[in-house]
Amino acid sequence: MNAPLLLLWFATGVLNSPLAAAELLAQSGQEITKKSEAFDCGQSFKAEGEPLVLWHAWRDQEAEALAKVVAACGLPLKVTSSPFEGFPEKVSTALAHGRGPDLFIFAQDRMGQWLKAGDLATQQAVPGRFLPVAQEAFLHEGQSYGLPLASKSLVLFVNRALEEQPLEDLAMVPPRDQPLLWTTLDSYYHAFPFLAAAGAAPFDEAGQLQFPSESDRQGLEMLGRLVNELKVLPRSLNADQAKAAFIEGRATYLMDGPWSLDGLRARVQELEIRPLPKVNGRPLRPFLGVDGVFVSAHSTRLELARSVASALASDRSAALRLERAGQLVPNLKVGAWAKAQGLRPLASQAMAAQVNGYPTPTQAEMLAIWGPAKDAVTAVVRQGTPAEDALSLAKRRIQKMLDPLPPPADLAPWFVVAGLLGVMGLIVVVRRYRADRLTRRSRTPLPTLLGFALPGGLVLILLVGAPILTGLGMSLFARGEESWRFVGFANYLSILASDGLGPTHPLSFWFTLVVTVLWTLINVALHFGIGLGLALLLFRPGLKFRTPLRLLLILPWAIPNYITALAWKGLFDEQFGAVNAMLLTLGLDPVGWWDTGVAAFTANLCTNVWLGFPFMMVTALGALSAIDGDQLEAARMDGAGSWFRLRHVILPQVMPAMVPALLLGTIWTFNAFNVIYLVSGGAPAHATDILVSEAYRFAFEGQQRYGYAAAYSVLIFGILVLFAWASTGVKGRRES
Amino acid sequence: MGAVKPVSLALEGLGFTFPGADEPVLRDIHLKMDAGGFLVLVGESGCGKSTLLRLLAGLEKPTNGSILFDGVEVNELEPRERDVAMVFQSYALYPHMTVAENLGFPLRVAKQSPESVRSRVGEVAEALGLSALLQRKPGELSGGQRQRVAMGRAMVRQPRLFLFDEPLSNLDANLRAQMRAELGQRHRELGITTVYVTHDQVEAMTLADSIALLRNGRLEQVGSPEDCFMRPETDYVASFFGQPPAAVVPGAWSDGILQLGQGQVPFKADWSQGQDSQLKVGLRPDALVLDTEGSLEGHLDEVEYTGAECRAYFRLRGLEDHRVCVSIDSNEAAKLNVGTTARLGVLNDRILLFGADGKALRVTPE
Repeated sequence: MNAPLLLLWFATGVLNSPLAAAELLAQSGQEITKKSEAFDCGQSFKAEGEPLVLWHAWRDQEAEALAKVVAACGLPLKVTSSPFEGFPEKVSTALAHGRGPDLFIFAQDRMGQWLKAGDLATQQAVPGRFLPVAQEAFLHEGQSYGLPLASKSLVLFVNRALEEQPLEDLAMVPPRDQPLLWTTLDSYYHAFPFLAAAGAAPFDEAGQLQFPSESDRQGLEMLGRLVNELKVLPRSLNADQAKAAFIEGRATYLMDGPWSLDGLRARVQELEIRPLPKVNGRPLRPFLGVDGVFVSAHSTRLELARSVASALASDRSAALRLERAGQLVPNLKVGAWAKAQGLRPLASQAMAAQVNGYPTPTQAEMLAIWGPAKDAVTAVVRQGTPAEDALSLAKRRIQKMLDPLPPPADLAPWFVVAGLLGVMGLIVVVRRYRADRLTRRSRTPLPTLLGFALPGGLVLILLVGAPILTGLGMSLFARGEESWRFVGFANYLSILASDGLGPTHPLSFWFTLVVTVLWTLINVALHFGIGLGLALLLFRPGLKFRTPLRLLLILPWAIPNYITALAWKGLFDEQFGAVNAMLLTLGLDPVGWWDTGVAAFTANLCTNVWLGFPFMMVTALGALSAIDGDQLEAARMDGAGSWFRLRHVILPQVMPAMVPALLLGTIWTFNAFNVIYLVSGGAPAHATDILVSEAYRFAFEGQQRYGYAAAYSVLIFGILVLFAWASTGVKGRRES
Repeated sequence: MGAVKPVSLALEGLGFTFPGADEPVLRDIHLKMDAGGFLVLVGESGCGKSTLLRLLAGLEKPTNGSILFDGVEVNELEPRERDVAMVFQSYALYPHMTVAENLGFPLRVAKQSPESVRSRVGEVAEALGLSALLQRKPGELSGGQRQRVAMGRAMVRQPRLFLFDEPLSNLDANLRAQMRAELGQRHRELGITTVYVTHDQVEAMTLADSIALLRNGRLEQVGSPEDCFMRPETDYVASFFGQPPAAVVPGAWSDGILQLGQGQVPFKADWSQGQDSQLKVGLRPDALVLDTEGSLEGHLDEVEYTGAECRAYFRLRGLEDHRVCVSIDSNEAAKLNVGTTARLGVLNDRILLFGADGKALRVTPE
């Protein structure tokens, strides 16, 4: 994709003289500002009529620079910033309902879905203004649908103070103990440069999906070797940890994106940015994301919107954004100007380092790749799974996601059944009411009754009834590209058939159900045991410091549980966590907590036990304090030892209070979404996901299978209803 | 009911201080009790009587001195090793067990076979009239029935020593009298050594072979009910027993005259222990009579009608801080007006005399 052009454009000057450039900048800051004003906006706008609406997901400096551009060019725009997460979906939904913006700024990789929906208007490409590769990223069937504003890709950050000799080829580095190039490998995005170095591309020349290909296999195998054999790459890090190591001077090389530049520049003295190194003589090729301005095809003032878009992509705009926010602007004139002025030398280096970038594909199918590909990378890097197995599983999952929707189901029988149920319900209600009227002596008039029932009833209907019904309804639909399709029980059937993955696969409903049941049983047993044990200890007569001890033990409960969960995640970190540090001091091997199902399950378990025992303890303490102390002394007098007293005097009196607590604890644990999501995140490869966290992934992690996820939720709801019904039945029998 | 083996009891210099507390709860208690006896511990609340019971039970361990069962020290023995049964004020029945299970609990602890548990529980229930209630839970019983179950649970094991901690205090007055009588009878039948704590002196008087009155952790007097009432060793004992108890007023004696406030009572006696001394004089309701010739003058404060008899409370001239009670016939009482004064005569042989230190003076009036 025109990589040589990029190279040509940047391969002069700047790289060699960052210091000289910085001096220049220091001497003539004033002048440069003047000069950025010398660039023009392309055209001028008259302030008349309502301004157009622009949505974007930029933040901080980038957002401020955008505001400057709007002011400097006098653009008739009302600018609205939205969170990055969910931005494309929000735009799609808003456009479909006619409430969308006239223009919006986002990365080009989500363009496919808007194109399919016919949301985008064509725009006039400006020959010679942009870096060709950036402009081409917005081409679709010969038409341009966006103008490039800024480009981003992974680059190599170098701490030159630590560098002994330039890093050329990762495969040529002698085997070592410490990683050389620090990065996270927690996503397909971070692994892609290695796959692309082996020649892999997600889509072929004709735009057809080809992931995973033979090149992917070779690249992934190489990646596994780099991590596990040559150890030049770290096995399990998140992006923050890698960055921290670089800032603290423990790492010479960091693979990260320009979004980290500000944080690094201030803390690393001799920072330099270069293109990613090579592997076996072939350059790593990161995804190149290009933020562009799009014009909505639904805008009522299309021509005005087009010219505003053109102004947003003008030289003046690029110069301002480079100057103010250090944006990497793919604008040829401005690039050359910055280079000459020595303006933002690191940004210039970063632009040059994008030389081998691979524009992120725009096809909508890309959404189906991220999740399965990430799991394949994790399996190979962390668990040593053969690349071929990991990729073939990913392939099956992607195909499943891209499968055509289940055939539409016939609505008629459903209407009949629903109608019959409704009529039967109505009959039951009326008969009940009549029967009551006959037997009740003091008759309260119906309006009064309704008056009392209505406020509570409304709240119940709105907060409980409506979501349940919506979920139930949604579970019978599947979301297509443009509309929802009624599919009957197809979602349920697909879930119960494990999506064709086989019941032992971590993503299968049955596997997850077993994990969830184990998770619940072990947790609740430990909550109960530890809670009751501590309550008994606290209950001992003559215990010193009872109140502070009780306070301390309730503390885990009082702290917001996502904070606790994140703290535990940190404790279990493989390299920097306290748990492994303790294992090391004890002379044991550190454990890769997120590498095996059992270890990750244990880490989750520790967290949730910590979170859960105080509730049981408090309940047990309350029940214990209701026991007459004389009874325990009477039992002592009668010769009962402490075990006998616990078994025959204490427990039978504590249990009636503990049974509801156990019921609640079971339901909470069964749905302990935040612990799973925040601590293990389902790692490795969804093995520790429980039903509710898996349902979340189907809906919100790239796949958007809302109907499928809703069916999952209904199944979870059903299991819990069954459980609650069965256990209250048991309780009722015990009480009678 | 099987063979019983009651125990004799001795306390030698017994003292107890709660861990971490400064003041001892009990100090230097000496006491002996024969096998099969019935000892009642009385005293104001906080005097240490319940603590003494808990020491006997083994629920607390003594700080000083020793507890001897049949001459053998048991200080360090656990409750279960002492073969002692206790009935608690709250009854301490297990609410989740039926009456039968409650009664059988000590036997189940002792790992007796279910058959022998059942037959023994049957015996005890029969004896206490609980047979019809065996399948009930304590919550479904009346106060008196619960009390019986608590007693039954103590009896079922045939212990060497019974301990009762205010067992009747939660019952209403009529039931209390009935249960008191039952308890006394039960003790006569079983002959098991019994220590009984109460603050009710009627219980103490009616049940006890001997009474031990505790005051601030010390023994004030140990003796038969009659001793305690008729021959109190201190003014405190005198002011504890009796309904109402004796009024203790200051007095002085010289030359055959007992000075009580402004009244002068001729009192000739063989006065061997110190003359002229300041005295404390205990006046029980039967020591004073209405007598127009009487040597004392009193201001009538209040009259309580209790039935055939009435209690008239007077304030003696010169002793207005004290109220003394006089038992009078109801007919006589009708003639009295509150707020008027009356003359009172003294029955010399009913007066209790104590030295300034509170110790009884044994003086025989002539």
